[in-house]
Amino acid sequence: MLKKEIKDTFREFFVILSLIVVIILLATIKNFDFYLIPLLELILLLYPTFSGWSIFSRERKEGGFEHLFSLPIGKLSILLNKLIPRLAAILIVLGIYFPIREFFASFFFFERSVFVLLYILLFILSFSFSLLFTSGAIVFVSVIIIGAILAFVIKMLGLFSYNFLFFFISIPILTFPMVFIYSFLKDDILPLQFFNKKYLTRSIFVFFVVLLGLSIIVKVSGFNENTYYLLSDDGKIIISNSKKTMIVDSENNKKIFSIKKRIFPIIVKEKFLYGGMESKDGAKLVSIDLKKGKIKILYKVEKYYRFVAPHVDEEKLTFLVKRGGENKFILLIKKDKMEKINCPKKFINEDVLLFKLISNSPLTFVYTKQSYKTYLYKEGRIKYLFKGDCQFYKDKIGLCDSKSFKVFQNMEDSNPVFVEEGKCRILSRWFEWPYERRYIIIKAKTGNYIFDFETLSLSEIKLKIKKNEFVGTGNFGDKLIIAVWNNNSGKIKVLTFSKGEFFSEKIYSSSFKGRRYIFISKKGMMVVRWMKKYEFIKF
Amino acid sequence: MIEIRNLSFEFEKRKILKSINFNIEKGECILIAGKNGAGKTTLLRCLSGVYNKHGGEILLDGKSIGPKDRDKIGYLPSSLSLYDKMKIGEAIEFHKRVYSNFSLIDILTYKLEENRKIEELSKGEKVLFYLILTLSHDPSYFFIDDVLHFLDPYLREIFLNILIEKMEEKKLSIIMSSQTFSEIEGLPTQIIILDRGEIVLNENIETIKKTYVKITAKEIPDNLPVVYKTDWDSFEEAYVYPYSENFSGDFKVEFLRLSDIIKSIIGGNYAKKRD
Repeated sequence: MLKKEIKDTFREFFVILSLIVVIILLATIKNFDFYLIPLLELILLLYPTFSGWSIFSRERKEGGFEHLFSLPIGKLSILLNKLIPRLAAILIVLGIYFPIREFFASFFFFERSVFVLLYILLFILSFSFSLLFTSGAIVFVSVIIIGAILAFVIKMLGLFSYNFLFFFISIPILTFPMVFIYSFLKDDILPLQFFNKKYLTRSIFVFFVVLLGLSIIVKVSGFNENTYYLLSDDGKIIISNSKKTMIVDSENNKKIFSIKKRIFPIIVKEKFLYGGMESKDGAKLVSIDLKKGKIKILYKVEKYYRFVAPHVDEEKLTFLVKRGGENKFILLIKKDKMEKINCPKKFINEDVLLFKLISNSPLTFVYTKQSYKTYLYKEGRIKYLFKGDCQFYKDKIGLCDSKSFKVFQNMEDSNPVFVEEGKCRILSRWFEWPYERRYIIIKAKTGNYIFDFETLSLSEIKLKIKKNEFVGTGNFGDKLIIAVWNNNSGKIKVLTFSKGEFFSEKIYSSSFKGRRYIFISKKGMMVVRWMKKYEFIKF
Repeated sequence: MIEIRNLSFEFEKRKILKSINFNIEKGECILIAGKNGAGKTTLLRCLSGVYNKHGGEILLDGKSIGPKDRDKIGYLPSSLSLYDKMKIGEAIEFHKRVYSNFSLIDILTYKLEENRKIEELSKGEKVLFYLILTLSHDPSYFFIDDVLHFLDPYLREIFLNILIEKMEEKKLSIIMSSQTFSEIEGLPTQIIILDRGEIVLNENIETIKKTYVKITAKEIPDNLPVVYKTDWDSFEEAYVYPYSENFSGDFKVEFLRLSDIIKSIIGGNYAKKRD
C-alpha cells in the first residue's frame, strides 16, 4: 500500500518540482522576478493544500473506499501509509523553498515564519478536510476564508494581540487533525455524508471549546499581555502594558511616573522618554521627563496611525509615521519645534526597519528594510547600498553581513572607509532601534572585536561565548559594557571597556534562570524574564 | 466458523440491522435475500470490515474479527469499488503486497490483459476480475453483494462454477446477497431473509423446499399456517409454511422453486406480521 501512496505522491511532487524549476528559470533569465516570485510563493502554498486534500482523492474519485476498508489493514495503518509519503514530500519542498527564498528574499510576500506556519497549517487543514470537500481548490479557498473570518472575529473581540495570532493559529492546527484522526479511527467512513456531518459537528464543537478554554486561560493568566521594558542610561526603568505605564527609579525603587494608559516606549534621549500613547481618538507622540515625571503631548495623529523607526542624533529626533503598511510622513522634532515631511511617493510602500534622516532639504535619508537591505533615498531616487545588519553613528553607517563588515563615512558615497573581511555578524543587541552608539561588537571568523566609530579602529577582545550564553551591551560615551550571562547558572560576567581598551571585569548573579533579556545602564543591569518579571542588579 | 451475535447497526438513529444472529460453517453457502433497503448490503459491509461501528459481535473461530483476520475474508461489493485508474497489472501487484497468501488463480475462459485500466472493463469483466483477485488470496470466507445481475448468462455460469469448485475443493464458505435466484438454486445451503433489518427466515434450503408450499382449494382450511393468501373467483390460493404431511383436507399441494419461495415471502404476509 505504501508503494502505491509513494507513487501517487511522487506524481504531485514531480508537478510541483517542474513548476518551481520553470518559474525560477524564467525569473532568472527573463528578469520577471517581481511578478514570478510571489506567484511561486502562491504555488508553494497551494502544494500542501492539494497534497493534504489528495490523501483520499483517489478513493473519492474512483470509488475505492469500500475496497480499501475491506483490506486486511487497520485504519491507523491506512492513515499512516497515506500521510507519511505526503508529509515527506511537503517537507522536501519546504526545504527547497529556503534557499530560493534566500536568493529572492525581497520579492517574497510573506515573512519566512509566517510562510512556514501557513504552509503547515494548509497541509494539516486540507488533510483534515480531505473527506469533506470534493475539490482541493475549495479546500484552499475555504481555509483562507475561514481563517480570515476567524482572524477578524478574534481581532474584533480583542482576544489576542498580533503575537498571539500565532498562538491562535495553533488551535485549528491541533483541533481539526486530532478530531479528524479520532473520527477516522472511531467512525465508519461510509456513507461519506454521515461521516462528514458527524466529524464537522464534532470538530467545530471541540474547536470552540478549546478556543474558549484557551482564551480564558490566556486572559486570566495574563500571557497575552505584552509588557514593554526599557532602561534609560541613568537607570530609570520604564514598564508599559495595556493597562498602565510606569517609570521607576532603580536607585531607590520609587515610582516617578504612572498613568493608566499604554505608552509604547520608543526611545530615551536626554532624560526624556519618547513614546506613542494609545487613545480612542488617535495616537499621540508624548515625551515624559524622567526626572520630574511630567508628560507632554508633542504630536497628535488620527486613528490608525502609529510611530515607528525613530532616529536620534545630536540635534533632532525623527519618527516615521505609518498607517497600515504605508509610510505616511516623517516627523522631525527639533528642540520642541516640529516639522512634518510628507513621505515621497517612492517611499510609501517600503517596509522600514531602521531609518536615519541625513538632511531634510533636499530630503535625504537611509533606511533598512525588513529584509535587511539598506537603501539611500535622495531627491526621488532610491539607491541600494548593502545587505546585512547595520548600525548608525553620526554620519557613519556600519554594515555587517556574513562575509564582511564595512563602514561608510558619507552615506551618499558607495566607497566604504573601513572593510573587515571574513565571517562577521553584529553580536545580539536587545534594543534594535538605531541609537547613536560609538561602539559595535562584531563576531568575526577570527575572533570577537570592538569597532570604534570615532577612530575607525577594530580591536580584538578576549570574549568566549558559549551556546547557553547571551550577550547584552551598554554603550555610554567612550565606555562600553558587555554582559555575558549564563542560562544555566544565572551568573553574569560584566566586562567594561574604555576607548576600546579592556578596563574591568566583574561577576554578578541573578536569581533568574533560562532565557532572558538584559538591559544595561550606567548604574546597573535589568534582567527581564519572559517579559513578565524584572530584576535590577546594581553595578 | 463465523458467528454473528446480536449484530445491530444504525445510521443517524435509524436502525438498519436489529439483533442479527446466525452462524456460517466451513463449506456452507448462505443466501441473503430481502427487499430493497432490508439491510443486506449493510450486513455484508459489517462482516467484511467496511463498517466497524456496530453493536453485537462478529466472531471468527471464537475470536472477535480484527483487521488482520480479513486476510481470510474475500469481499465482492456491488459497487465494484476498485481504483478505476489502476491497470490490471497494478491492481494484482497491489493485492500481492496487501495479502499474505496471494497467488493469482487462472481462469481459462477469461484472459487478463495487464495493461488495461480497470475503468476500461465492462461491468461483467470487472466482476470476474474482482472475483479472480479476491479468490487469489485464498479466502476461507467469501461475501458477495448482489453482483450476478452484472453478468451475462455465459459469464454468470463461469462465475457460479468457480464458486462451486472452491466450495468443494477448499471448503470455501460463502455469504451472498442476490436478487437473481433462478440460476443459483443449486448453490446455497441455507437461506436468510431480511426485512427492515430483522431476520424473518433462517432455514436450511432443503427444509424450506419441503415445508414451504402453495395450496389451492375452494376454501383454505383455517388450521393451516398461511403466509400469504389470494382469493380468486372460484378458488383460494395460499402459501403455507411450515407445511407438514400431517395436514389433511381437500386441497392441492404444490412444491415451489426457491425463487418463488423467496418472492412470496418478501411480498407476503410473513413479513407484514412482523411489522
